[in-house]
Amino acid sequence: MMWFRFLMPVISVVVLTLAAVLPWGLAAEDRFVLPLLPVIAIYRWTLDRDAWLPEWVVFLAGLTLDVLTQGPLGYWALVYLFAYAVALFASRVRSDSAFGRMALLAGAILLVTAFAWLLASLYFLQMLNWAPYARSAIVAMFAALLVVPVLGLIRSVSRPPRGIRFTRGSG
Amino acid sequence: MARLRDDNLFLRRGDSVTAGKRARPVLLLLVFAAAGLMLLSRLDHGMIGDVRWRAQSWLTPVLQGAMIPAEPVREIGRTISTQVDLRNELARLGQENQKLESWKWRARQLEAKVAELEALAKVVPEQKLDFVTSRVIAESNGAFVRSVTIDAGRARGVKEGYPVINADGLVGRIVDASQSVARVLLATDLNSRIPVQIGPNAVRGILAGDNGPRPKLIYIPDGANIAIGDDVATSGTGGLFPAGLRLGTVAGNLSDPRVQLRADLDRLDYVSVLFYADPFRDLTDDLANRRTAGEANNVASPGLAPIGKPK
Repeated sequence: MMWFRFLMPVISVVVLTLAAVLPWGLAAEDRFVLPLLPVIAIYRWTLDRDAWLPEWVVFLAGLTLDVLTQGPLGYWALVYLFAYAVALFASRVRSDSAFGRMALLAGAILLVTAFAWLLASLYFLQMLNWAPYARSAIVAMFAALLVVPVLGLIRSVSRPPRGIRFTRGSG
Repeated sequence: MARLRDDNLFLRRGDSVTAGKRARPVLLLLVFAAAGLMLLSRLDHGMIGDVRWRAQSWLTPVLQGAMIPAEPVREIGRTISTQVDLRNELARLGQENQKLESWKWRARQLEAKVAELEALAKVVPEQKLDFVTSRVIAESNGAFVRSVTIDAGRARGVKEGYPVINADGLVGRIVDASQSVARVLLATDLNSRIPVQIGPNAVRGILAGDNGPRPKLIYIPDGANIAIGDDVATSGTGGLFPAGLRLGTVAGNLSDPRVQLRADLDRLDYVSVLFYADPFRDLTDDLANRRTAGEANNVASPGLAPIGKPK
């Protein structure tokens, strides 16, 4: 079962990516929130130094979404890589409180959504309506309140046991 | 020791705590690859479309598998939304039923009259269309495209160009079909163009999608007599769609008329693909085949006299 624990970050990103293309009955303007869910997972696992989520998995997740949504190839791959880069940057910002960490995540979602909007506008060479993107970013922030604890639970279940424990006076 | 240092458990004097992972050169490489793919997609490179469609065909079993656990969640959502709308829906249905009752009698009368006139005029009976009903397994309603993927492909007789409907009216048409799946371009998509007739005067126009919820009506003749609430249906012009498939009603304002579609394209569960082949294409194919066969006959047996010609 070690491999399962090891692959948990990858599995969670893949599951959320597939969930983003399933027909949930959401209005077309509100569907943009679904591809933002893997962004939350990418951010969460990139911050975790024990988790294995290489860049190429992030790239492939985005590419899969591009294939399944019939959008331009590379769009979601680029957005997810941007999310990965934002998470790398966020991992260098120290935040001890839970509120601070959530604020960082909210900022990351906002930044990634803005990047997605900018990239789509660049693709069409015209400024797209930003309102559905903004709405989706806000919904994704609330969704993060649910997704992050679930991922935390997965992490606590799948975390490999440490063989060596240092306690005061053990050396 | 290195791992312990990485975990900040065992630090020596002078070591600094560096939290987080570092960006690796492969990240830059992947960014370039993604940007390159996007550029190729923008240039509409033929290879991209082909690769994408093949990849989607491979991923279809995965999607079908993913639908199994997702179905109960969808069902719960559907039940909640039905319960919320139930009161309004009942009131609407009651009003509609009253209207329909009066129309039913009128329709029967007209039906009898039409049948009588058709018999008198020896009208060729309408072609009966065969169809196949299929489940929607994936949606793509992003900034770029409005389409759905259905789990019926060439193996079930589905071909490119076939119209797709549901109980409420026209949904779109098939644009890609593999052996097991097909992609339906929805009427709201930016690339969708449907010849339509509007209202009792059967004003001709084109229903053009713009990725919004209500597609617009374009190429309406100047001074055409249309009104808000007029019914919009396919006109059959061009042979892409059969005439008379209902779409919706004219909405918005008459300076920029739009169509409120009857079919809820955001909540498609099952759709039917009509086996309607473009009659003009059939005619041209038939002529081309006859010409080719004729040429082949001439080439294969130049010494033979044409059929029916006395030797």
